[in-house]
Amino acid sequence: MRTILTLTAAACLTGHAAFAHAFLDHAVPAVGSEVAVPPPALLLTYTEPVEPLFSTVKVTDSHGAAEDQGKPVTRDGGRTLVVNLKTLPPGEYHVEWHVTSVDTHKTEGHFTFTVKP
Amino acid sequence: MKTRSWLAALCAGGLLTSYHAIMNQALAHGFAGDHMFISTLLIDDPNVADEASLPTFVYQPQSNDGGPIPNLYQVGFEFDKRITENFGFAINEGYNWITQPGAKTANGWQSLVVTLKDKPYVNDAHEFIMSVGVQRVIAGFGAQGENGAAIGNDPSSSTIPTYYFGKGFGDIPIGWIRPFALTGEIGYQIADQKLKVDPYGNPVNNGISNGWTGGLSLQYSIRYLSAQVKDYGLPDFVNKLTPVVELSWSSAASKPTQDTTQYLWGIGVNYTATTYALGLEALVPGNRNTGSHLGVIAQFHLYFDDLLPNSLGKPIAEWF
Repeated sequence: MRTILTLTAAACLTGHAAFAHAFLDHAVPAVGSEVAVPPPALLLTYTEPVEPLFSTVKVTDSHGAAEDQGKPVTRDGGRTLVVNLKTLPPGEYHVEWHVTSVDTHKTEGHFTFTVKP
Repeated sequence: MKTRSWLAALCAGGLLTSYHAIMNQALAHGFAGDHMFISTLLIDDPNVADEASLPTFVYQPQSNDGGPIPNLYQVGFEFDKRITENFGFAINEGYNWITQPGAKTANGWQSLVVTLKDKPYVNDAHEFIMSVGVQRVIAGFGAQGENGAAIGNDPSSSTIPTYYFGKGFGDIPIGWIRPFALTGEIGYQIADQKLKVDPYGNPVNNGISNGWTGGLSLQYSIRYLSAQVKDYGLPDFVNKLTPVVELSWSSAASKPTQDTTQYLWGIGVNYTATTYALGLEALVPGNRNTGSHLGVIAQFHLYFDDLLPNSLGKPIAEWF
């Protein structure tokens, strides 16, 4: 029994035995950041590959107007979602994302970033 | 009557004072909107999930009226399984040792606990989740030996209707507060056989009193801070940490009783990876009935929904 438990623990600790919930690892522009230059696109990198067909990213300004263009596409083997943005004037922008990882787990989140005057 | 004798002796010696505060360690995690609630160590969390705790280890010095301090060691196991998406069961069992200088070690299995749990409501926008459950504490399941095997093995079975909740603070418009979450549970333990005592207060049957049990946890998710509020560029290891403070509580709700009101704090941190979690907390007595010395609780937790998403990690109803 001790051997079985040890092996189980080791298998889980040493790597990703399976795909899992996709958590946001980092974003460009970064979560809560202020940028001087309007970004042409928003990049969201997750801890697991995601399915673009079942993932949505919305970027809105302070009035709720949509600032994203087109559907998101993936890079880095599905771990990064890229969505093009309109030319953003200075202001605060709200990002809302819903993703489905390749093993069908769903996660969601939202954050803001700011384009400085 | 051996059970009663051992319990009476242990209670008289102050050995069982903090047992009930840590007996119900049903553990799981769940999402409500953006927030993921961690697997807590002292109380059950509000989610219904496919998970296991293999194992949970507890060390806790007990209270004592005099003489050497007895120490409780406990190894607990839990298995959580969904039957449907929001309905499932859990099985808890554990083995206890109590050591005391100059005395023979007392050891034995604790009561088996089986829980049915349903999660009828989740509000993603407000990061709120609630569930209801019924715990069945099956007495006499463990050994009844003379060496103290009745430790933690109630003399009477009981049923505990329980309410669970979790609330993330993500809808509060203050950035640094949003990673907080509060979870809790409250249950009412209904004994199959009520305790009866003689005119001197001595038990005359194998009954127990009814009781209240519950607890709260306050969590601060670093992952939520970095992914939803502001990315400070923290190392990946730090982003997976959730500092947590838990308080578990139990008290008698009927007389006569041999139970005392107990408060026990757990202060520590949870490391949540994709397929497993590690939890480590210091156990801090909340009143004299839970002792006067620090203990520790640690747990290795598996998330089967991520580890085995196409078999053990999905509801039984979806297997066919």
